[in-house]
Amino acid sequence: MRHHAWAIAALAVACALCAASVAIAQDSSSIPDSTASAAAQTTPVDSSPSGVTAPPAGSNLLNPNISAIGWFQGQAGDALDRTDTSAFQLREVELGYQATVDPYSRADFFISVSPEEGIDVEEGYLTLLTLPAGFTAKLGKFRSNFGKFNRTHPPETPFADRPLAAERFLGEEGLSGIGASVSWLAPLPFYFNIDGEVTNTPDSTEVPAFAEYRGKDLMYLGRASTFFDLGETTNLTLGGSYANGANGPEETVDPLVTPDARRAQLYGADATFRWKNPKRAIYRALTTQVEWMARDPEDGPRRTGGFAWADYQFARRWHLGGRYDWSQAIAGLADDTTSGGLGFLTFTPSEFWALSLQAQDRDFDGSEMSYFFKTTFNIGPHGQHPF
Amino acid sequence: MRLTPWQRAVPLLLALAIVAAPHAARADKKIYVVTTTEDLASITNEVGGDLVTVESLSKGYQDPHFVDAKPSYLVKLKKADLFVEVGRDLEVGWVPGLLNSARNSKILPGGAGFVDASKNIQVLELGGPVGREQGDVHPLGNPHYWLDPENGIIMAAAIRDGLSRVSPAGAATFASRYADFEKRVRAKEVEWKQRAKSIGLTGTRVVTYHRSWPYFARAFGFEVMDFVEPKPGVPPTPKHIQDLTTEMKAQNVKLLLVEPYFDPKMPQQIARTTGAALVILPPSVGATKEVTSYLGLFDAQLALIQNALTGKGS
Repeated sequence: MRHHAWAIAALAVACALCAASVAIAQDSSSIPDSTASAAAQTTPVDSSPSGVTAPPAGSNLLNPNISAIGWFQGQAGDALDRTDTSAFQLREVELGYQATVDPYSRADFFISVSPEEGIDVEEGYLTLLTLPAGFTAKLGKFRSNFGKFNRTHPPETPFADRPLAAERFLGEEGLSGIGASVSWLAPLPFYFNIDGEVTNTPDSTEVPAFAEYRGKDLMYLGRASTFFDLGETTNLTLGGSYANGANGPEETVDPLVTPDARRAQLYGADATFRWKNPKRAIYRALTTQVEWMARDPEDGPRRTGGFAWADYQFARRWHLGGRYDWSQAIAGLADDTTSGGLGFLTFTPSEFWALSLQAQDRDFDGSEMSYFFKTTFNIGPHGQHPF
Repeated sequence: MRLTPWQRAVPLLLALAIVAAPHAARADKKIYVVTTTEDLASITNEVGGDLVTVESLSKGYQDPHFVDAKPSYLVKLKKADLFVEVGRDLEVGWVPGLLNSARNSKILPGGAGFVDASKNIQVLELGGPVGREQGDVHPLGNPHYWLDPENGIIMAAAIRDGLSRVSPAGAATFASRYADFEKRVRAKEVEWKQRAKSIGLTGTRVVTYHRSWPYFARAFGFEVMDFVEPKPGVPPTPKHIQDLTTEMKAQNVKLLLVEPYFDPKMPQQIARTTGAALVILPPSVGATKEVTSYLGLFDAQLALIQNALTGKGS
């Protein structure tokens, strides 16, 4: 009963949010007619009275921003002996379609296509832009706000692989859900944001931390994050995350009774430190990140894992970095702890193309070495620089 | 049944909102304007006077193409009554995401509080084929238009219109302050152009690092012969530098203009080889401590060039 109530409440809130965002926008924001057409573009395109500065007219102007990222990879080493991984992989082609829908909302679609996984809607969501009091909301499928690393699309991470803990807890593609998300930026003099998400519990084959059971057994997720400028060149992001989702059916002795769902809880903490001299922004930068996570299933022991990595840009086109992994296995009762590391050297001929050589060492039953050549390339409108 | 995160979060959220809400209300009633660059901030101050409080997200010594979209900027953007950008995709790598996350629909493109200062600018390098084989090009034209003081007047008009939209009560003040700014710019323009001629800038050929100076060149009548970057955003190659120095010597180029956010090592080497004078030229207000206003920017630039060309600045 209680689950029904939550699901209905979530649906009602989602409808109310959509209605509110439109009503508030119509009420408070007058849209000057000269710029009304610009609202339909992610990139503002102005028309000037003289016509001199206007781009060529045509229906293309209302097309969304379309981009594609290719991720090609070569692999060598011990893992090829043990698994069915191929030496060459077109890991993913990620297609992005992004635009404002109307003056009240925007839509972002990311379709991932790969020879092995087929076509998947990696993300596809509507963002309500005009909610009051520091709120925004998303409806659709989106990468969950669990930790900091999880939100980054796999081709855009510095790594050829996933950090071990992220892979063991959240799966190869990371945690994502279909549902609704509300985000609130607190009215404080510094950045403090709270996110809440209600989504379907993901399938256990994709996200090992949870196990989808009945349609009503939803996943609830919350994240609080804050950001501080430590000085002009350095800053710190801190976050804490919590997720509670279904973990399959409870065991039952009576075959006539439909068992309730078991639940699993996931906790996460993350810290990201960045250094960059803004006077020489294109030449040097350092990003370091530490993430820790723990899983508490209703019927099993707590398991934990984490990773720490650093990416040092030491010249305009060169990055050097490394990552340390440590994670318990989440399945089974044995305390199977694995550690490992990854090192990378990346060359970026331009902002839109990266070539990376990487070496991975994982200590399963003895050391296992893998070597990667990762390249990602990007066409389409100039995307946001990652932060 | 355990409490879900929602059940736990609701009382916490309410408590936070109640505690924090009074702090959100600003004591003064000034129009709060957030700009992307210090040039825009300076012009907004000229037009807005005492009626506005202005903050720029980037500093004048930063490359405006490459500014990190820090979450701390969201706190400012959320409270902004007016947002002013250079536009023409100059800030495309950092502004769109910030605006979408700022929870402030007034300042979204199309909103009353959004000003694209390039709106009525006749931009250069517009049209023709656009592709990344040409480097990091701007399909909407060269965005460094603030470096022609004539464009400063057009930017001020866009800002005046934006301020008047969000604060109709101040419209008369903004109009008269704009008129005064226009008069001062026009008076200074005569002085600057004379000075450019007298120091030998007008009519000369120069080399610049990035394609940042076509408007400055047009305003003061000099020709940009070539660039240290072989293509916009592409770092110089030895071959390109060799060709460039040969050409600079052949054409007797005396001036090499470099933005302060580029590594000066390569330009220094070019200057040594060719005998051209290297000027680290502030492209924006705030690029150096001395440059504190839009009008002061051109004074400072011409003084530096004079110093380089004649050996005596003022």
